[in-house]
Amino acid sequence: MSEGAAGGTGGVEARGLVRSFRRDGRELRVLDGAELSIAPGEVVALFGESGSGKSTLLSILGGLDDGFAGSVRLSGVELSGLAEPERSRLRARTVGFVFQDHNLLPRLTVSENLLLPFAFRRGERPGPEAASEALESVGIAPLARERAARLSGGERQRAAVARALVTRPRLLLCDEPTGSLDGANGRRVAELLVSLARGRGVAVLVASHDPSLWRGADRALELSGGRLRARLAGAA
Amino acid sequence: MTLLRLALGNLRRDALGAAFVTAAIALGAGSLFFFAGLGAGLSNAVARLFPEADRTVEVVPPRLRLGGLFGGRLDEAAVARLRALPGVTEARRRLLFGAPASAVYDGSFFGARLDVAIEVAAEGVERGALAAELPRDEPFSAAAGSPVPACVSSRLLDLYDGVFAPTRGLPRLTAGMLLGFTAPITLGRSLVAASRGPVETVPVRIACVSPRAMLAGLTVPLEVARAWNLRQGLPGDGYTGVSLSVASPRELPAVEAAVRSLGFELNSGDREAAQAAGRAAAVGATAFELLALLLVVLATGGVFQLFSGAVRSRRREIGILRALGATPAQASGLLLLEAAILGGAGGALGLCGALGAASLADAWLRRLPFPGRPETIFAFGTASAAAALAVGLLAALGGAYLPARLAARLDPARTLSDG
Ligand SMILES: Nc1ncnc2c1ncn2[C@@H]1O[C@H](COP(=O)(O)OP(=O)(O)OP(=O)(O)O)[C@@H](O)[C@H]1O
Ligand SMILES: [Mg+2]
Repeated sequence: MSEGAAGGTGGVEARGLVRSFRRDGRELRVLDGAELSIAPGEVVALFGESGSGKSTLLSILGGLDDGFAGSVRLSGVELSGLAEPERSRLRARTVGFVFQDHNLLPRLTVSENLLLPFAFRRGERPGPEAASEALESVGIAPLARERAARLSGGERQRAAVARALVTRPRLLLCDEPTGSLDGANGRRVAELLVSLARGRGVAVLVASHDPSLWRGADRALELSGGRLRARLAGAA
Repeated sequence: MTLLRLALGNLRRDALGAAFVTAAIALGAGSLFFFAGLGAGLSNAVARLFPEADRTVEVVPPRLRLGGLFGGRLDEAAVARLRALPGVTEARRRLLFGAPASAVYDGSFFGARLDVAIEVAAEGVERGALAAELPRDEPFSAAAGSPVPACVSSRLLDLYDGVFAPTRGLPRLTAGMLLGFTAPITLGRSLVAASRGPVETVPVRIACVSPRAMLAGLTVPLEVARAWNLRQGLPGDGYTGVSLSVASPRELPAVEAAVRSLGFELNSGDREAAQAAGRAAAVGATAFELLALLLVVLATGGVFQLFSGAVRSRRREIGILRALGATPAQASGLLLLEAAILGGAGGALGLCGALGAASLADAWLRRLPFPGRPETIFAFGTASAAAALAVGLLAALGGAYLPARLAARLDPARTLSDG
């Protein structure tokens, strides 16, 4: 698969990413020439020590952080230099996020949480049946009308996965999606995530501490020293 | 729809704070509405108490005649000149009865016994001066063999009902009850003085109750006053006053100046009283409106506090919304929507509270025996209601504006990694 195809037809492609923060008056270079390309339908696991910059990378790829140098092509659109509100609109159209926890708004029902992304878009207003269909695919359809606050940790992460996919994104960015789940639960959510994304042709990048969960990924990357390196799949 | 639910849910999260701020907005917007209604109602009441005070010029002969060009006498020629002044639409003649008169009444009075002897003053006017209160079929003229029609002052009736009747154990009267009441009065002799003319007794019938009738006396047809004066040996020509109507209050100063240059004086007692009362009402209401505005400002401060706290405690949630595709403007819009809900609810509550307080105040006033008391001292309009609602909304939106901007500026990457 050529690198151009990844950023052009729905995947993501990053070139020469540099991101630094100021801390205690010193410059902290978290990303230092990171390069990456994920094709549609490809699932990539991202490993790295705590503080290596995994979350920072995900924020940049998803258009949540514009303080970087370099180039990011998301679904064919260059992110660097793209200003608000276009950046948010592009994110709404093409990116789904799953975080470690606090993904859901606890006072809304699960179904309302799923439809929340559509509240920020023009046009498209799917009804509750779209929500129940998405919940069906993650196996928690009976919880549609439950307050999000009453769900278990595993149910919450399933709902978060369903919400990230209900908008049919091109890129799914997951930051420790199983980090707050126990082993068995974490494995089930990881498997679900991989199979759903693959079936929908979504490019996936999953940041995680636990390589054992992501044996199903197509590739694994290691972030260290601000750069990305290929890591042998399955090599934990 | 989801956003509205989200906004309501967020407000419920800090229900106590939201309730407090809503109450503050209600108090501010409500008292603004209340005092605006009070100001308007009081000036209405003043206008009712002194009808047409701002469109009438009362002309009287000069107290000192300096032998000017026209001699200062209010005769027919003078009335014609006054009527011809630019801006004057009507000139109505008035003539005071110049001799002493009294009424001695000892008999039944609407179910009670009344035994009084009072001094009586009388003034003759043209029918048109009382047309608003005279019954349509009341000719208001002297007819041989029947009692003389006379009008009494509605302010006098108010005084009687408010002060006199309750303290003397006499029945309260309405204008309707008084109509047709007939009693004799004695001309040419009073309790303290006698005239050189003959003493005669004439029956008088109440024909109307009017705010335009003389305050302490009987207002009778002009030709009756002239006939009484002639019988008492007083001059039969000329008038003691002329009421000029002007088309609009703006013409008053010019007409007054013209009247003075014709050598006459003005009796502006009513208008000055009306203006003083109106000014007092307006100043009082304005002072309280300023106080209400201060409450609104304080409420705005409360909204600011509430939403500053909300932005702080909801950083993570705002980050999630941004990750879901919310633009910065949509993130702040959610907070402004919450503020608008508070402001709208506060404004509406304030309106209801003000209307309730006003009807309580009116009910309380109705039990007070003070003369000239109007049915209501408030005048609420849709414009002032809309203004009060707008003030509530603006207070809420104004207080939430800066926190909402802060929410828009939050760095979503950072709020999401802060946890
Ligand atoms: N907005 C910021 N300002 C200053 N420093 C930041 C900011 N965001 C991240 N950093 C720093 O950049 C480094 C990388 O942070 P990041 O959260 O990307 O790491 P991570 O790989 O996701 O770590 P973890 O595995 O613990 O989640 C850290 O040292 C962090 O403190
Ligand atoms: Mg991280």
